Amino acid sequence: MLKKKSKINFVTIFALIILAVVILMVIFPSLFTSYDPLEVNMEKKLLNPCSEHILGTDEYGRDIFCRIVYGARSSVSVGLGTALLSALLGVPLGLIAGYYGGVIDNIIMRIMDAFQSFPSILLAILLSTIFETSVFSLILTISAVSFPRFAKLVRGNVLTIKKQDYVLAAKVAGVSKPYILFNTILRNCMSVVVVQFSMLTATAILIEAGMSFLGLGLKPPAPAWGSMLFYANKYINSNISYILSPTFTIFLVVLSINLLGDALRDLLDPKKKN
Amino acid sequence: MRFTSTLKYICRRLLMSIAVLFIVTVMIFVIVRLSPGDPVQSRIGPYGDYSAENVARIEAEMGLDKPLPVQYGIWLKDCLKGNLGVSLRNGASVTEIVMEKLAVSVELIIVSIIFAVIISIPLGIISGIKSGSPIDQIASVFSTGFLAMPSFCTGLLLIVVLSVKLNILPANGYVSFAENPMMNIQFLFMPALTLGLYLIAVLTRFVRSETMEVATSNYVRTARAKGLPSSMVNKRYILKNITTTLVTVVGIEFATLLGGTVIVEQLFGWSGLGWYICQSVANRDYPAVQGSVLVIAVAFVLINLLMDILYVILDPRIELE
Repeated sequence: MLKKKSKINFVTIFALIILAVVILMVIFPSLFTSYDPLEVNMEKKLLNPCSEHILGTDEYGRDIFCRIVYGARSSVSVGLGTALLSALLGVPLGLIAGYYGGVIDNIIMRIMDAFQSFPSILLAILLSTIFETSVFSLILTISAVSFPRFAKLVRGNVLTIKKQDYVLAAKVAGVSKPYILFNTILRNCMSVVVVQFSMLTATAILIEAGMSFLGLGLKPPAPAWGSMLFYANKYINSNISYILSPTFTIFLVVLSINLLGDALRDLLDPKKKN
Repeated sequence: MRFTSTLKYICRRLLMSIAVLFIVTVMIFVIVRLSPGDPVQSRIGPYGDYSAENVARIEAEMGLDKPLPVQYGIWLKDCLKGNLGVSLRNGASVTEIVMEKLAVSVELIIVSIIFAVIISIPLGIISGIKSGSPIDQIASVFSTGFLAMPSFCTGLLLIVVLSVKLNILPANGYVSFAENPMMNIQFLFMPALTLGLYLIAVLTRFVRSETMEVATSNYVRTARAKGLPSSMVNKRYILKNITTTLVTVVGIEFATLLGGTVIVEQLFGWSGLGWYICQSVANRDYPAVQGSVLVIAVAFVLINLLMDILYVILDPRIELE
């Protein structure tokens, strides 16, 4: 218990505070700003940071801080949605491959290898040609890139867990296979799944931002961090804070999630501590 | 004994790679077929002849009247012959364009890898040997930061500082080395630095943990106990022992970057393969997208295979299952 407490240091607290703020932005954006993210005001376009607009305004005179606050919604939903969908696809596949082994394992794993033979952003770009862009299509696309990681990780864990005595005991006691798989074994993989879930949320936010940066993200006027980068790129000479604001936001959020993931790993898996 | 088991391992890895490549080609074929847009329409163009006979003739010519598995077979056969089709945009051979763009990307990747290796090896070894020292701590903050930093963030910051504020480098563009070496290097500098900083973060972390493992091994302790000077221990014992793994890690990073440079190339207008794929997606030039992605995926699988084989050959201690 004592050891666990000492692991929560100020870096983790910093990460938690940032993430708490982001979650508040998602639920109650109006707490942070009184502007409307979609309101166009051409008289005030591309203002530099001032007392009225702390981060300045974009090419349509919209408040940048306000768009960052409202943009949290799409980034967070893509991040969490992807992590969830990837877990739902990858975890059962990993469990089955690891537990049954043999031909089933080989087929599942070769398919996972194939998915991983593309750099993730490239497969995402390729898949995005099929769909009309929406939050849901982004989740679908990025999940297709990420779920193999879940499958491989869980499979690796199952390989060691299935040799444990308690699994043997359950088998001898006549417990059904699906129950052993989705209860006994899954419970013991949970720590890995939780850590991977947090890491994947960060990766998904990054891939989404990358795709939006290439112009394959959510279409305007919806506020989203990645798309802001795409448009701000043209106005780099007139208002630097326009491009720096989403850049730093994405960086801070991803860094915080990663730090939290590291802390979770230390907390949940005492064996892996170096 | 070792020889036969290595051979067995290589054969197994080879078979696995062939299976993966088969799935990859099916995936690319299916995804491109599912994409919206009618290839016949783009062939005929907006003002062409849309009579039923003409459409049927062109469909037959492009092989679109055959069942899907047959179409896949024909496509695969062409690919194996090195024919990736023609670009819908300008009718040029996709194979030729892809090879040309690939060379442009490879230049960028190799320069960034060399830059990263030169910095991360000494940094990683020092951090590993003196873990907890100020250098180690600085290196660790640096790695954590740049691992979380998406490439477009690093790139944009570089543009803001080096070309907008200081105005010493062009923000984007590409000129081939043969055409103008100086300009080529000027344009190369920022994208290479962007990729390089990320690679330094990855490699330093890796070298550090490998060094820590080797530095606590018995043979290093013996060498130190015998009174060998520490520079010799570092070079002959530690560096030599981490090289094998380092080579494979660098190889795999290279493979990942082949298509993973899309964003950096787009940001800096470096007209490599990633940039070309973005353009082709925007133009809905599917043969071009299909061909480029196929080349990248095949290269990825082959480099991974090669690295795995190299790894077991270079390091006889690796246990083969």
